[in-house]
Amino acid sequence: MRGDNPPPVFETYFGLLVLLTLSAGLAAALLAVSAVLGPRRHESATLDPYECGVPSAGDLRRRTSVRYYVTAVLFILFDLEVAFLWAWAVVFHESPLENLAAMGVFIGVLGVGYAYAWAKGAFEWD
Amino acid sequence: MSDTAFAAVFYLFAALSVVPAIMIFVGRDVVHGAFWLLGTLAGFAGLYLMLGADFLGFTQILVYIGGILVLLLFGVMLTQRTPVLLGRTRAARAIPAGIATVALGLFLAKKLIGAPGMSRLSESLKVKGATEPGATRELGSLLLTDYILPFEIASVVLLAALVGAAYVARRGSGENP
Repeated sequence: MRGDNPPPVFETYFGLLVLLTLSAGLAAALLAVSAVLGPRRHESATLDPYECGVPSAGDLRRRTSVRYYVTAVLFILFDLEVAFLWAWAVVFHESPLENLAAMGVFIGVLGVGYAYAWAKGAFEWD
Repeated sequence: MSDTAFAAVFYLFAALSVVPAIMIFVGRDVVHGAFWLLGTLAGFAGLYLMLGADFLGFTQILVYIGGILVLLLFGVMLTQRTPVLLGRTRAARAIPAGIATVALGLFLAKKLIGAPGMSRLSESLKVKGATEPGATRELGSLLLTDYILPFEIASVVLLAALVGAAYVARRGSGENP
């Protein structure tokens, strides 16, 4: 890599890099400051609910209802769809009508599935 | 930005990929492992971006970090028994496994470094930059022209998964159909 010719990737993502560095640095700094300056007094009242809290009940690590899994799977599916939408959106302006139609079919097919899931009650708790 | 900075960022992301991966195997808590995986996936996303694979990099963040990892944590929450600690691997197994891993790593590194594609890659990174962001644009226009049929078929695949999820959901709560 030539030193006088900055790789273009840096120009593109430099802001992102700064943001990542700053947020990671800030998080680390806050944790460090808290660890250094925070008082450590363990009394009987330390773990009590504060003001309007309620005492905790049960085990923290209990099994969750399997119904959440359906929600998670549905989320993944639409998350994947976003990847397609992104690539589509970048080139949308090149031929708007055709691209709109192409994505219309795509979303339409998924819409059928969405309607089916809705009708089957995948979004309902009971 | 110079070579040094580029190399520094590369090693940062490389460390971000490798160190959490080691922690996953060293640690015994499944949930901690899932969170360490976040670092590995993010590190790889950074490496992809450095190679100019913007679509791959951001899809990695969107789908793997945003989706798959959540699914993984869900999986742990749904199935775990308490305590969720994995048994410690016995040395009798860890030592041969470690030797095999190192050997495989060295073999792959040797192959990769010697491969003709690698010098071409570093050349193109040097000159115009495979780093020119635009993979997403190219991918998008290809998806909407030459590969429009696979693109639409992808929606049918997603549809199949949706219908499957809905079916399982219904059967799962079969007590009151």
